[in-house]
Amino acid sequence: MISRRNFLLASLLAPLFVAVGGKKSLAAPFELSSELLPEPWANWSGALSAIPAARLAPASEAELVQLLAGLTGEIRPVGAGHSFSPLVPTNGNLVVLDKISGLLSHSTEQNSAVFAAGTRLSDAGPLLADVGQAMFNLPDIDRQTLAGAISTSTHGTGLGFKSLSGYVNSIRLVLPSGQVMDLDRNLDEERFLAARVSLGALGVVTQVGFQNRAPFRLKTETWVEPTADVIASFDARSLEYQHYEFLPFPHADHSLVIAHKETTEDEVPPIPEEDSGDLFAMLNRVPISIRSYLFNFLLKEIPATTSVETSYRALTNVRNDRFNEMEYSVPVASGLACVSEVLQVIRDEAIDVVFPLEYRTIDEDDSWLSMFNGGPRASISIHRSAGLDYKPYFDRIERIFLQYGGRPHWGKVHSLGFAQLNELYPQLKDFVRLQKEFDPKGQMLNAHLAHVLGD
Amino acid sequence: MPRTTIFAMLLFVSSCSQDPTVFPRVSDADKQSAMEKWQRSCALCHVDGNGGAPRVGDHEAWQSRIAQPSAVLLEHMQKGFGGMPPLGYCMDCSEQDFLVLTAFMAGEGP
Repeated sequence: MISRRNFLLASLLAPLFVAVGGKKSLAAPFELSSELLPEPWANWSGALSAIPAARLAPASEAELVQLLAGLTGEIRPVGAGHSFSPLVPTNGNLVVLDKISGLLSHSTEQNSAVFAAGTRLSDAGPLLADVGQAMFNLPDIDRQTLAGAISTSTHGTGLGFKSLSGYVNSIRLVLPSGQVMDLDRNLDEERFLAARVSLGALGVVTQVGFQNRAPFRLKTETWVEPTADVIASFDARSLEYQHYEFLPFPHADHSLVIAHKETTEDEVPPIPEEDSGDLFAMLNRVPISIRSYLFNFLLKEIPATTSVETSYRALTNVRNDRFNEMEYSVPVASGLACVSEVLQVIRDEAIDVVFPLEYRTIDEDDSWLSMFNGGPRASISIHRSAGLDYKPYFDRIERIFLQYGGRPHWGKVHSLGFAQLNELYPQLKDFVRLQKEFDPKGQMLNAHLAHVLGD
Repeated sequence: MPRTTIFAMLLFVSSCSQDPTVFPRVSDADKQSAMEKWQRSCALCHVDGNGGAPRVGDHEAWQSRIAQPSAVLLEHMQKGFGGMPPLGYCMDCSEQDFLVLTAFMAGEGP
């Protein structure tokens, strides 16, 4: 989240730079073309990469329509590159949505708003505040585009809240043929529920409408507590607080708890966090044999905090440390047993990991491919610092997630293909049928999507 | 000359010397285009200094960065470096854009 004051100051500098240049005038030793020639693409963690033949950044929806109608070969849309699963990598056409952004319209009576789909979550909060609205809930990272976030059923926490996709009330898709398709529940419920979580496989999402609410403030409390106590009190506390989650530290007995409650109290800004850039790198070097003692000692020293902010600031964080992530959502009734088993296995098998896990709860919605279709779920995330080999750790823990009936987050690391996913998502076959109808040439499918959708 | 050849030559030259970043001369239109990308992407972190990112206009903080050869800076921007993700959230930035935007943020430039 950028502070508005700083952004305005910086924005004032930008036109001056264009008008008068910088301090020095240096001779250019080479000339670079401004065309987007093939250059490497990589995701946020750096674990996924590709060299697309073309990176296309249409300036408008109309330009995108023309573009898609004339394209041959593979097409993959990209938002902020925050997915850890290979939804984006392509050697074909990478379609960048950055220029298709902004608030397009809103209804004060219905508390709803339509965004261009390349709008980042971090921009959506202030834009909605300007028209007297706010999203019900947000994920803790807000760099993603709206298209990327809803297409992977990205979510926050809170048993009374759905994933972002669950609040979508209209979608505009541009199919690979260039055909524009407007969808909502009244126009065509089947296609609408498929398009709300589409993995970017049906076409390019260009507009997203959200059901919102009036702006509100949240009181945020954070504290460190023994994990056993957090687990014992979880059910009661997740009803007491609107948004409640905990981050248990592996090889330690404590968790960081984050709790939000709606309030009318005046704003109390949070104490700025110190840059933890080297913290996890340092902890990674501590031998596992003494990690438990060290972590328990350090964690108890972390003070509790309280702040009050507008919702879109309170619910989001800046991540200073890059990582790779796996997340599965299990039925909420078995969530605490699952996370307890994961922590025990990490300890028993001395798995070398320092990043905390994350435990959140989310209400059900009816999007076909939502992880939360059919009932509320508990999502459990595991992380490994970017640049480290995450596969052995993730493979081991994935086996536990699957034993608990877990569904993988579409934008995070998982190893499942169509056969296994078909057991977990009752409407996956229906989605595949629509995918073939919308994209008969299979242009929207890269290798990962072909594997996932059983092509 | 193909751009990839230029980049390879830059890498070779940078391995032999420690010349600081040299910024390309660009048209006002290219500069304007780059600045629009800056507002959508780089600004997310370089305005408030999130994740230890050097702030826009903090000439001193940028000196150690631009003292490095252009090819090193470009590699960091394309592959990510420290808290900065690959491409710095700018999915449609070219190498030229990255250098122009660095010049802007460092208070340098053509």
